[in-house]
Amino acid sequence: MILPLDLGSTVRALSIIAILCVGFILAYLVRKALFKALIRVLPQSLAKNIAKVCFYILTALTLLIALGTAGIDLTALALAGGFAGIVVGFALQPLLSNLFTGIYIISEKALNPGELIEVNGIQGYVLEISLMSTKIRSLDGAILRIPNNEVFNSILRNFSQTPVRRIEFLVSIAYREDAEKAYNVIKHVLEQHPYVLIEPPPEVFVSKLDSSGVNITVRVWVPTELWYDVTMDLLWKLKKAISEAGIEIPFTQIDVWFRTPLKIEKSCQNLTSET
Amino acid sequence: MFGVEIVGSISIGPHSIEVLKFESHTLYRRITDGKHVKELLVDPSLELRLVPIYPVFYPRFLTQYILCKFEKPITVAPGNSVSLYIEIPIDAAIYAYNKSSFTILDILPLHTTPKLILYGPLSGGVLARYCIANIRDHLDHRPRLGIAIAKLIIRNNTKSIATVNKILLDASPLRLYYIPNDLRVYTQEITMNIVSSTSAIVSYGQPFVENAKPIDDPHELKPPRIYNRTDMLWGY
Repeated sequence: MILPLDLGSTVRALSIIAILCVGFILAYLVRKALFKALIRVLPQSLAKNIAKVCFYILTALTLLIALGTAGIDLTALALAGGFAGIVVGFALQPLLSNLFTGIYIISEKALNPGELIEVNGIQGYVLEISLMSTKIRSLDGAILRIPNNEVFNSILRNFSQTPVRRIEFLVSIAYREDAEKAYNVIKHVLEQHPYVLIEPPPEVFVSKLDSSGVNITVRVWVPTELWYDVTMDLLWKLKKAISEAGIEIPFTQIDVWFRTPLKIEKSCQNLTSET
Repeated sequence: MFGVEIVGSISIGPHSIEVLKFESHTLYRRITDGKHVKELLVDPSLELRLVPIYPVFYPRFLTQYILCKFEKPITVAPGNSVSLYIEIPIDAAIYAYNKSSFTILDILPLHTTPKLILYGPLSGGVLARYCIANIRDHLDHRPRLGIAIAKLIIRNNTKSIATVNKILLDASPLRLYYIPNDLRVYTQEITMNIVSSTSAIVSYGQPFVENAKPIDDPHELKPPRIYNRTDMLWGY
């Protein structure tokens, strides 16, 4: 009487082992095949993570089937799992939000490592984009980890996705100076600079008649990767050329006028008596 | 003179080159416009040679494209083709060779103020070295420093008259050929097929001058194995 029962248990145990083995092997093979297929169309990190998620889902299904085969009632487990899912879902909401945003950012290729970006007013070079956060190196050298949700919800400026970038300078000259002469000096500096692009053409124009002087705006397009070097170099060259041409760069001046003439008294009696 | 090992001192344009051989090393020195610009110590087993180079390395390598604006526009009738020669500005380079490899030690600019230009729209366009190309209707074999002569065939495959103002060249499939011990430099035959009112395809053929030696392409500009053409999508 005991023997058939034992045989049944053995068969069941063997089936559970077989289900587990087949399930795990299948999950592993699906993971590898999926990664190989996805790597052709998706970035490596995203392909790896999708393959990993599939592996875990298949592993979980295998376990559930194995438990069902073992005769464990899964209704209670499903109910408990459902409740647990709701609780965990609420708890992990920010985490999941970052995760899905990360998947979106990676698949959309909105950012790529090495690119210069600005998020929430912070400029830096992208070092790494993971599923949860984006790591950037700010221009002062600090390493920042920004949650993907924040990258997605804020205005993102990507400077590296165009080959050229515009930079702008404000040059002020005194009212007594010849604006046309200043214009020619500036134009000559721009023509001589190897990184100022011919097209789009530079723009030089009087932008404001300010309280202290005439403001001339200079807008030039430069290669994106050299914008910082050109900004430093060009401003220095403009200042040098304007000074060498004898054009006065004004500083803030205030003329004070008095309604009534001022009486200035000189007390030089003592001085005259001494001499 | 291109291709010859430099020993002693030579002058090329505004540059004066000195190569002094010592027992333990070779001293390379460049003086430009009277100023010491570069000085290097080189292994004495290396041979230093003056070689023409694409005009994309000075002041620094930013792009492999060269946009040549023709000194005057060329108008081509529908279905017709025009063959002419254009002068492309080039620079010179000092190559260091050993038996199996080479490297570029120095770039000698031969033209004042190189400029850059954006060909195409702000997003999607390409950065290119800008130059003005003189046009010749016959092949001028006089040696001219800093100039490479390209044979250009412009084919108008559209049904309307086309006026060509510029050509975009890719320094990667483009090859420079020089006559050893001379200053003459040529490219291969370049064909520009006009395919619509705004686009053209530039393809790179075979050299058109005999006894010319190709330069060893720098690693940044190794010729592509499959696509030997440049698409001009934003006007010509």
